[in-house]
Amino acid sequence: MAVMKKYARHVLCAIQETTAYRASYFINIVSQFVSYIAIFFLWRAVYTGSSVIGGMDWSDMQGYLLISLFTSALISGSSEFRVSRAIWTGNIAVELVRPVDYQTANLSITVGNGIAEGVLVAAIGIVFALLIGFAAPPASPVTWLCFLVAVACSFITKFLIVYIFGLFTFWTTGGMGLSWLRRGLTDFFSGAIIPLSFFPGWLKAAADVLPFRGIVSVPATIFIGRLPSSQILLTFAVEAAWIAALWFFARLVWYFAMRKVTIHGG
Amino acid sequence: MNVIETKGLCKSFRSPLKKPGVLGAVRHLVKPEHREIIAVTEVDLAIAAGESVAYVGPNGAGKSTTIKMLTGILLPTGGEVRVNGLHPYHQRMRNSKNIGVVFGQRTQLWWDIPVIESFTLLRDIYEVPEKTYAENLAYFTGMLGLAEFLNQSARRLSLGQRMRCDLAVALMHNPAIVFLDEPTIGLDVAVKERIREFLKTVNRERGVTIMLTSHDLDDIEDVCRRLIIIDTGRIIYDGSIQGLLDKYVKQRSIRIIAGAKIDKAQAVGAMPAGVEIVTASDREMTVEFDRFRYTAKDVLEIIMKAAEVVDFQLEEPDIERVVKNVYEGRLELEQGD
Repeated sequence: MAVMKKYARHVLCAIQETTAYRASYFINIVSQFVSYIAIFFLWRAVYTGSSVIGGMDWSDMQGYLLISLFTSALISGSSEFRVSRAIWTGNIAVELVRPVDYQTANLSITVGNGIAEGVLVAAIGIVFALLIGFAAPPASPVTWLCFLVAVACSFITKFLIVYIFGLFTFWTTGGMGLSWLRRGLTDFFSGAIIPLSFFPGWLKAAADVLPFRGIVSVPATIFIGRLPSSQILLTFAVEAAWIAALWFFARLVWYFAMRKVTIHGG
Repeated sequence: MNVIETKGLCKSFRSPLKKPGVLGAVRHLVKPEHREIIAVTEVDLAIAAGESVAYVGPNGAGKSTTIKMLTGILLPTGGEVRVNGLHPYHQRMRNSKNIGVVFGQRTQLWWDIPVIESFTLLRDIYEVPEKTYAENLAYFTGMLGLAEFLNQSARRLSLGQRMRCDLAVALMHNPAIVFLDEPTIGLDVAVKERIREFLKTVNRERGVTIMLTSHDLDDIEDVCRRLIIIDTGRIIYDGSIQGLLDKYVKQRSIRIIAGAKIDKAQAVGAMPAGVEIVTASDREMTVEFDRFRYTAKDVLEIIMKAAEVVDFQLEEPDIERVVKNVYEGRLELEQGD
């Protein structure tokens, strides 16, 4: 009980922290939309020539892009660099002298950021959907439920990938290059920019076994009803297995990273 | 009972060895070379509950590295270490409940939320009972004068205000030991004094064991009864502050102002063995003497025979001079008691 309380408190503090500065809170989120507006018009241009591409019509694509935007915005810049910043400034020392599990504490903080930003992202997403005239949200409550599960999986998967790449800073000292690599991998293999169904066969096969698809492709295809219901349970099982594997892999990386700790200052 | 115990504690790091210039950097990229840097070696510590210990040494001597091993941040490369009977690294979570830590250059507070929220977070992290928390909060707020800025975010605090909050945070869960790594760095005199007073009080009233590193010798003399000096990773003195003075500061000095011109040759001749003129000008002279052989009165009488003294000033042996000598390698210390 007390253990739950300490991580719940991390969530609350993170919500307060995220909303501490109104300007940066809004700018952070609005900036995500700007790049998506460009992607949106790009796809609209593509769809002027043909009505169905890769098995998706324009309405599907609109729904897909909305969910892609929503899931990408849930873990934003503030979480991206938390671990690597703590490592290269040496502030991780402060975190290590407290009785908290660093990984769980980080997840809690990311959840707090996600809640604070997610509310606004969802609100803007709905406005955006109305503006572009998107009118095909899932009708069945079961689909909505599956979608929410998929969003939760998306969140944890992305957190773990971000976290593991952050820990690599113990070896590289700088976090920038790692972050670019991480973003490239996730954007590409999650289907954030191009849906996986557009990929050539071999590349799609690769993307299907990697954990990244859970971040965008799974929730987005569930949302637009393009993930056959017969596959949903299997997909969730694979995602759960990936989350467990990444969770323990992160622990392993942490174990070796801790032996490498060299905090400057004598 | 010893709350801190180490035997033969060692820590070495692997550090990249780069040849100078671009070529050296490129060569390091292709074929990196490393060398071992020994930060701490063969450190034996035995600190009892309720002690207040200053851990002193020049920059890079290994102070912070020792503290980081005792707090479970770094894994020692050799030797044994026990803090409250626990291994700080392997039992990090359990050990951290018994200790409080203040790093002068870092903060436990979250930047963008009110200080009081950080306190609540730490209360939950350490699972402090509500009653204890309320008592401690009232006690620390009073002693450290925190009330006026508890509702501000840490970003807005001055360094002194922030450090006072960090002290409260480190002690909020009633730890048996508190480690302070340069707690007064960069602070003004008034805040320093307040912090010292606070540390003395918690040491005396609550029996908290204190281990602090500092370059400010006033911190050390004021707060600590025991002094451990480390240099190049090795302990070179461990004993009381008075013991260090008795052992290594044999000299005291008197500086006099004379009413008439001093006859230097005559003055030099008048000094017995163990009394020595260090500087002398026409109207001024400084004399150093063995404080175990002569009293100040003896020496003053001798000087008055050689010069017309109108004013004088007595310099007491101070820790600053000894430590400075040690840092500069001018004094070889042996283990004290």
